[in-house]
Amino acid sequence: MSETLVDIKLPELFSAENAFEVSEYEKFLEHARFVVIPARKQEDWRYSKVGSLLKKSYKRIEPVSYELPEAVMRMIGDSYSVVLVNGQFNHKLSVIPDGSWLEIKAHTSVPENGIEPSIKNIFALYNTATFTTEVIFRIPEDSHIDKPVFIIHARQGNSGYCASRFVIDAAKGSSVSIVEMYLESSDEGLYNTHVITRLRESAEVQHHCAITSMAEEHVVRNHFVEQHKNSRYTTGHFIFGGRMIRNTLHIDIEEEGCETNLFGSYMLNGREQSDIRVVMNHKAGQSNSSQNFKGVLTDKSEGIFNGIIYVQPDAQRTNAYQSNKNIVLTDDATAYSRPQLEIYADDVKCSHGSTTGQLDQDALYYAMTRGIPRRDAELMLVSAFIREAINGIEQICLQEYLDHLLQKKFSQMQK
Amino acid sequence: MIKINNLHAQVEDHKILQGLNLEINAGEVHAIMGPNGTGKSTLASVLAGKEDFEVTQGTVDFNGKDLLEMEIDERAGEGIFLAFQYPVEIPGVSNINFIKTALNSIREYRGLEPLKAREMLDLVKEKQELLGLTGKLANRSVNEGFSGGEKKRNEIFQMAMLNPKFAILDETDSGLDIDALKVVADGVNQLRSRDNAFLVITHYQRLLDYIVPDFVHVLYDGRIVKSGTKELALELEHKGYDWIKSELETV
Ligand SMILES: Nc1ncnc2c1ncn2[C@@H]1O[C@H](COP(=O)(O)OP(=O)(O)OP(=O)(O)O)[C@@H](O)[C@H]1O
Ligand SMILES: [Mg+2]
Repeated sequence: MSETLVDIKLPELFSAENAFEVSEYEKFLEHARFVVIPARKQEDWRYSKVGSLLKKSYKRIEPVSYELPEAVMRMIGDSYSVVLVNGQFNHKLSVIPDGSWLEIKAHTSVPENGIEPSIKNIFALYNTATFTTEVIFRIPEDSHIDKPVFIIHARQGNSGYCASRFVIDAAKGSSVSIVEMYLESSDEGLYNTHVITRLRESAEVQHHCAITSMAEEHVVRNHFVEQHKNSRYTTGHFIFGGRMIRNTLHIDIEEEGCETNLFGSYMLNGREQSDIRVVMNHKAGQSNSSQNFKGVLTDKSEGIFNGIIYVQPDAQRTNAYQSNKNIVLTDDATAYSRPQLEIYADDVKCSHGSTTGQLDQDALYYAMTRGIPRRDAELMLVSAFIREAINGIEQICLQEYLDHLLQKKFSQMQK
Repeated sequence: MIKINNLHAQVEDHKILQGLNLEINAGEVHAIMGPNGTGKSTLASVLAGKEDFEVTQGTVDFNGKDLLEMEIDERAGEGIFLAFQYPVEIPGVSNINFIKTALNSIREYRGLEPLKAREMLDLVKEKQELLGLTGKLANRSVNEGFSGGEKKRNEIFQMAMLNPKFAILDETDSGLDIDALKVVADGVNQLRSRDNAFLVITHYQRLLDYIVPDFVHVLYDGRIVKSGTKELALELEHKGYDWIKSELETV
């Protein structure tokens, strides 16, 4: 190791132990010199509870035998599935398609396209040195994958570190839909997930993610998306709990004619925190993007939405919309909402807004005068609020599953 | 059916109801009239259970039970219904799901099984026809973007679906055109029976031509200050409220 490397003091979380090879860890360190370490001082991490996470040292744990919950199996039905237990691919529980468009690789060395210099995020960098499994989608030109691909993240054993990496490359005119699910757990640990998506001309990708109730878990997801001409990208993120869930969605519109839909919800209680960071970067014009995120918070939970739309000088005739709405049920719960616009082109339509309020007391009263008990009436209003985000999903089975998670979570929130 | 005795209610320290007495029996229709801001809607809200109002004195007995002790939804379960002067919009909740949930909640309160999908559908159809409502409103969000008249019709549709023992109609006639007024009045008349009762709050005697009341009361300063038969409404229409005020002053 060179001298400069020794100088870097990284938080305990990013220990060498999770790396597969010393050389990879050294590469990680080399890059880590140029990225910021999350701290409250940084705008990007201002409200985040990342501080306590950085002091933990979660280690990879080998999974033992594992069974999928029945409700999850039902939802997957006869679709394809990739089941990762503690980040490790479980062949027995998975249903892999014939054909070569889906490749699953155990960690051998640094991923095929290496550490991308553009990655300025320490978690994403650490992921490249520590991921256990890499899942690569290479959707060939004009192919439409007939069934959704479910990716199941499950864990076993306490205090574990799980890292996985996804590369989605949708060739010209192709389409695929992917549904990721983090299963309920009462364990504590960190999921570090890195997603790289590239949509070529006229490709369409739907990519949804549900994080079910996991009060003690940390999830850090970094989602980098690159969209080319006339492509359509739709992504929904649904969070039903977690000690700290950090979602970064970074979308670059590289060429004209693109559609981007980002939406999602977070329902939190106790001391849970969800932190959504969106960078919607319109580099080319004639494209539409929309963001719609909704939060319901109770107890001492915190919901953070920090989203920025950049419209670069060349991105004329961009249409960008951004909304974040929160319902805060108790005085101790907090919603931090920062929708932002930075526009460097003149012929654009952009709007953004955020609201934070309580459950509509008049509507609650009205429903109760019709005989609907308070708890049911509250659920009805909360569902209607969150449903607006869920309705953006095409797969009915997923909508229904999320509805079920919503109801389950809300009954915990009402306690 | 319902017996209101010396009812006092206030918001913060603004006293609104100040010793109101009223008794309504099964099979009767009572009308309440009175100047703006005298407490008519407040009475309706207190009976429905709205928490903004603090009851400081008095009792309300509803079929032998203490109404004021009950939660809002329990009152509905016991058979109270309020058609709102200003119906509330609930974005994202479809009108049809709302009323289905309401009906099944009330059935559950009464220990009945939920209605089967078929039965529910038939009932909805029947009541929609009764009120000249098309299915178009069914899938829209509750009251959201409804016209004033549609909102009022929707209130009576809900009433018809829930078939309450005691219904309070708070200015259901205001905002209705003449044809709609007849439709709504017909709807109410068809629901009238020996087992239920109505309290109709209105400013216009016109409604009472269609829904003929057994008794008419004048509410003033948070009290019933005059009661009579339907002729009292006619008299008020001609003479206004001043004569009642001066009558009160001489007392
Ligand atoms: N939530 C409230 N907070 C403060 N004051 C209130 C509230 N509700 C009612 N009031 C006041 O109580 C009084 C009676 O109001 P109420 O709505 O009962 O009148 P009303 O007889 O129904 O009048 P209208 O004929 O105009 O409908 C009014 O002065 C009103 O401003
Ligand atoms: Mg009124």
